[in-house]
Amino acid sequence: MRQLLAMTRIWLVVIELTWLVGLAGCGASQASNTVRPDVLRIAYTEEAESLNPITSGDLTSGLFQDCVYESLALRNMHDPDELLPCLAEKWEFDEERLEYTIHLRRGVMWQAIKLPNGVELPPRELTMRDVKFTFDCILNPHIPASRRGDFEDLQATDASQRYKIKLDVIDSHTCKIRWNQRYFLAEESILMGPIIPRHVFSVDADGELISLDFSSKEFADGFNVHWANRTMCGTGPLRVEHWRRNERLSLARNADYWGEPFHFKRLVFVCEPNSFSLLQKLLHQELDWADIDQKDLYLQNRHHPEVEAGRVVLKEYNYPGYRYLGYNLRRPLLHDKLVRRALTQAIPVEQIIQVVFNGLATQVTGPFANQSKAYDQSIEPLPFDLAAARKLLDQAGWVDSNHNGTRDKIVDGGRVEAVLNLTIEANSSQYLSVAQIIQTNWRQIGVRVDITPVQQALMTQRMRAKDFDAVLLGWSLAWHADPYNTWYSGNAALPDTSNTIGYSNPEVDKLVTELRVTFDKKKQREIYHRVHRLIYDDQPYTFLFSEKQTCGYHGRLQDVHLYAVAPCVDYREWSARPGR
Amino acid sequence: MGMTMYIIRRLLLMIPTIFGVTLISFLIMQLAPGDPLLSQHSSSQGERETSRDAYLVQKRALGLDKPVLLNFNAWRDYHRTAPIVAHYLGRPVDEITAELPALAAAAPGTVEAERREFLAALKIPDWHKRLEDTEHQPALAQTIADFVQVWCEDAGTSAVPAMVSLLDDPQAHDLATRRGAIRALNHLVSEPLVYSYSREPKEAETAAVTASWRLWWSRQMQPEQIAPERIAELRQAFAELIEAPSRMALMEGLEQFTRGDAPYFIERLLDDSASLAEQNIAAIVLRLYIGKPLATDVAVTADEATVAEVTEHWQLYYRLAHDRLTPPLATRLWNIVADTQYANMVWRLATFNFGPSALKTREPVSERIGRAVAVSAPLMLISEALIYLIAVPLGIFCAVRRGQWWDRFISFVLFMLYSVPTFVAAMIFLLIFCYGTYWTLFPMSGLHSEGADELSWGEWLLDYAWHAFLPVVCLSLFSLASTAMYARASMLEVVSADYIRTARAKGVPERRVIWHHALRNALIPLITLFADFLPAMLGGSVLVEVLFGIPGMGRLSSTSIEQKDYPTLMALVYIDAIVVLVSLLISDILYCVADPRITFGNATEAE
Repeated sequence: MRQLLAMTRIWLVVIELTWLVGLAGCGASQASNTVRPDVLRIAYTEEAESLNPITSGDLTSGLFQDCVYESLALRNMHDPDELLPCLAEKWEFDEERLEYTIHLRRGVMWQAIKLPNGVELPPRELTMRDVKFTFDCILNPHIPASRRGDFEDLQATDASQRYKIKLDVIDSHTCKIRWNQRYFLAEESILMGPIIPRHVFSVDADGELISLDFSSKEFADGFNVHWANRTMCGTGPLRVEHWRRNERLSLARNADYWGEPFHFKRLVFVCEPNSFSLLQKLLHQELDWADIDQKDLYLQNRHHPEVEAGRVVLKEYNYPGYRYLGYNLRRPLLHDKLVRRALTQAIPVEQIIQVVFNGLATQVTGPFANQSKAYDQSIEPLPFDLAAARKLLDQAGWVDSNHNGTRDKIVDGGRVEAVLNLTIEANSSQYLSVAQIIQTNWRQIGVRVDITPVQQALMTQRMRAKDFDAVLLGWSLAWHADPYNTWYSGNAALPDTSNTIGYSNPEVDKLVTELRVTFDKKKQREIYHRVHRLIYDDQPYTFLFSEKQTCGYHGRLQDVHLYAVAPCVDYREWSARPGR
Repeated sequence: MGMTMYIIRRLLLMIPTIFGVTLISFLIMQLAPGDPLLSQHSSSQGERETSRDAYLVQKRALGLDKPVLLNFNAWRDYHRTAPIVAHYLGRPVDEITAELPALAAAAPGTVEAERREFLAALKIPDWHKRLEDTEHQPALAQTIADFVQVWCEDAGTSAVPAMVSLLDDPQAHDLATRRGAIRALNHLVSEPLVYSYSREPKEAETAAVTASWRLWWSRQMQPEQIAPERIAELRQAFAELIEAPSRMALMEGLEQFTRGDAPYFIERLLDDSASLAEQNIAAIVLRLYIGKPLATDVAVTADEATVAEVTEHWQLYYRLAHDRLTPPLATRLWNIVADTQYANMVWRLATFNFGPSALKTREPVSERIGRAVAVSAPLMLISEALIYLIAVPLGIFCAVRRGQWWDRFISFVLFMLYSVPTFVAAMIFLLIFCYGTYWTLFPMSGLHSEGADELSWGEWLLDYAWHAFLPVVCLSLFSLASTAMYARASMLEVVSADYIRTARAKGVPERRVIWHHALRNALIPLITLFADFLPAMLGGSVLVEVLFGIPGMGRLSSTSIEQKDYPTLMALVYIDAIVVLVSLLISDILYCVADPRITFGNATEAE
C-alpha cells in the first residue's frame, strides 16, 4: 500500500511539473498567441518551390505571390470570362487580334527592398521597362520559365518562328505586343502573368548588373540563382516581412499600395505539415483558413461544438480539375474504342466516390472544368454495367479462348492477353483504393490488372517515354482551357506535351485547331461541347470525378466567397467581422 | 606520442571511410528511379512542361549531364556514329517514317543495319516491337529524333570534331546529313559563338569576340554611312560609357544608340589599337543592337545556301575552340575520372563548397543546412543533456537499490518508455496536452509564437521553452530509458567487483563506495554512448519534427529525399559521416582519459 502511494505521488509530481511548465509557458506567451484581429493566418502544408514568379509553378508559390506580385489584368472571379484592369489601365487590340496595345497605370510603385548586403533599393515607379524585362525573362531559353509554353511554338521548324510574340516599348507606359498567329487565349496569356521589377532582378547581391543582355545565358545564370528568389518585391497590397522556409511567410500591408488596401494589417502563412494539428489549430481558432486535405478529418468534425457554435466554419467547394484513368492507345488492347468503353462501364465511379471519397466528389464525363461553360452538362456518364462491358469486349473480339480467366485476342498473328499494368502514384492510399476497386471489377469482365505504385519522378519519366498501359492521374484545369496540347494528335509524338496517351481523332484535331483562332464566345462554347462529346465517345480516358476541396475558416471572417476558378478564394476581399 | 600517432592514424583512416560512404550513398541515389529534374512536373492540363532547353539548362547547371562515375566520352570514335546522328536530325519526321520499313528489313552489313544497331543502343522503349508495328511508325520516328537528341546532349563537346568534319566537304555528304550535323552541333554545344566579353573582360576573349563580328561585318554589302555630326556624338557618348562609374550607369547610357550606329562600333571593336575597355563597350553595344547575327541552327527544310552559311559559322567556332575540343592525352586520361558527376560531387564535398541546392531557388546547400542545424541542435542538446542528467543518476539509483520495489518500478517504467516509439509518444502528447481533448497546455507546432520577435529575451526564452518542451520530451524518452538501463547494468557490474567488496569490508561508507569508487568505473561503458551524441544533434528526428512542425535537420533530410535534392542530400550524408567518425574518435579518447589502463600504443609498447 505504501509503495502504491509512493508511485502515485511520483506520477502526481510529474503531471504537476508538466502543468507548471505548460501554464508558465501559456502565461508568458498568452499575449503573443491570442487572436490578433488585424492578422490573417492561413495554413499551408507543402513549402513553396520558390518565390520567383517566373520560374515557380506550384500551388503554394502561387498562393504566396498572388498578394505581392500583380499582373496587367485580373480575372473577375464573379464572372471568370471577364478580365479587369490591374497594372494595365486599359488595353486594345486590332481587328485581327494580332496586335495588343497595353497602357500601363501611372503612379504604381514597386515596394522598397533591401539587397542581401543591406543596401536598400528605394521604391521606384513601374514602367514598361519592367514589362519588357518580364517578357525577356520568360523568353530567355536558359531560364526555366513556367509560362514560356504560352508563347512557344512547339512545331516551329525555324528558330526565328519559335516565339509567337514580339514586344515593342512605345513609351514608358505603353507597349505593343504582336503575335505572329491568332490565338484565342492571347489576351489572357499576355495580361494574366505577374510582372517583376527590372531594378531588382537585373542586379546581383551587391547591386551590380548581372548582364547587359537579358536574353543571354550570362543573365539567366544569375537570374536562376537570384537572391530575390527567396523574397518578393511587387506592386501588390502586401509586402514581405520574412520567409522562413518550412515555417512561415509573413506579409505586411503595403502602405503605398495604389489600390484598395488589404483589410488586415498582416497576412501570415503558417506551415503545418501535420494534418491533425492543422485541424486542431483551426478548431482552436489559431488559424483563419486552412484547406483540409484529409476528408475523414473534415467529416468527423462537421458537428464539432466550435463548428456548431459558428466560431469555425467547415465547407466544401469545387476545385477545377478531375481525376482520370488514362489509356496508352498504342497498346493493342487499348487501341480499340469498344474495349475502352467496356473498361469505363466496368468502373463503379459512384461507388468509388461514396466509399473512397465519402461522397465528396462529382462524376465527370469530359476534359473541361465542370463548372465552366466549356463543359457540356447534357452528357450523361456511361452507366456502370458489367454485363454490357462483357458484351462490348466480346464484340471487340476479346474472349477467353484459353479458359485461363483472362480474355485474349490474336493480334498480328500472336495471342495477346487482356492484361494491363495500372500505374498509380505511390504514397496515396486513395489512389490505391481506387485502383483496387477497378482491379476487382475488371477481373470480373476478364481483364487482369497489375497495380504498380511509383514515385512521381518515375511516373513522369514513364509518361514521357510513353512507357505505360494505364495510368491513374489528375489534371487541374484553367478556366479557359486550350485542349490543343492534350488532345491534338500531332502532339502525341512530341516529348513535352500532355498528349502522352497518343490520342488521335481527325475531327477533334480540326476542332481544337479551329478553337485556337475563334474569338466568338458562343462559337467557342459550341466547339468546346463538340470536342467534349467526341472525346467522350472515344473514351481515351475514363473520366472519373472532380474531387471536392474541403476547408475550414474562422467564424470572424466575412466576405469569404468560394469561386469556381482557381485558386477559388480571394484574400483581398476578406475582413474580420466587427467585434470578432 | 602514442595518442598523437593514434589520432593521426584514425584521421587518415577517415579519408577512405568517408570516400566509401559518399560513393555508396552516391550510387544508391543514382539507382533511385526517376529523373530528379522531372519531379518538378506541371499538373495543369494544357500547360506544357518545362521546355527541353530549360531542362538542359538545369541539368547542366547541376552537372547531371556528365557520366556518373567514369567518362570515356573523349575516347569514343564518333566518326562512325556522327553520320547516323546527322542522318536522323537533318530530316523531317515523315522522311524518317518512310525509311522505317527498310530499316526493319535491312540485311546485316548494310548502312541501314548499322543505323538500326545504333538506334537499338539508344534504349528506346519497346524498340523492336515498335519497329515492326507499321501503324504507329510516325510516333516512333519522332521518338527516334528525340532519343538521338538526348544522345547528343550526353555526348557533349567530345563529338564536335566528328560532327564538324561532316561539314568540311559538301560533296561527301548530302544536304540533309549536313543539316543534321548542324542541328546535332546545337545539341552538343550551347552558345558556340561569342559576341561580347564576360563580366570581367579578358584579353584572351578578344579573338573570339572580334572573329564573330568580323565575319558578320564582312557579309554587310553596303553599310549605311553615318553622318559626321552623329559620329561626333557617338565619340562623345562612347568616351562617357568607358568612364561609366557602374554597370547600372552603363546600362542607362546604352539606351541612346540605334542599330544604324553599328558601323562606328564595329570600327572601334576591330581597331587593333583599341583598348580592352573600348572593345568591351563596342561589343556590348553591338550585342544589344544587332543581337546574335550569326545563325547556328537550321530548320530541317533549310536550303543549300543557308546550310553553307551556317557551316561557315560552325567552322569559325571550331577554329577558335580547336585546342579545347581536342585536348592532349594527359587531359583526356585525367578526365576519365575527373570530369564526372561523382568527381564533381567529391570535389564540392572535399572543399566544403557544397554549391547550390537543386531547389528552384538554388539556395546554397550550406545555408539550408546551417538554418536547419540552428533549429535542431539546441533541441537535441537539451534533450541529450536531460538524458544524461536524469538517466545516469536514475540507473545508479536502481542499481544501488537492486531488487527493491523502487528498482522494479523504475525499471518497469523505463521498459515501457523504451517500448513506445517516438512518434506514438508524440501523438499521445499532442492528444493529451495540445489538442484540447484533455488539456491545452502546450502549442501544437513550431518553436515560437506568432510575434515572438517582439518579446523581451526572457519572454522569448520562456516562449521557446514552452514550445520545445514536448518535442524535447519526445526526443529524450527512448534514449533516456536505454541510457538509464545501461547505466544500471554497468553499475551493477561494478558494485559486484572485488575492489568494491574490499572497500566495503574496510568499512568505507556506502555513499563513498558508490560515488567515489564505483561511479567512475561504471561511467566508462557509458562513454561509448557519447559517440551517438553529436550525430544525433546534427541528425534531428524526422518524425518528431514533422509532427511538431519544426523545420530542423530531420525535415530537411526528408524533404531533400522527396524533392530529389541530391546536392543537399549528399552534403548531409557527408557531414553525418564526418561527425560520426569524429565522435567515435572523441569517445575513444575519452575512454582512455577515463580509464588509465587503456592506452593508444601497440601491444609491445604497452608491455
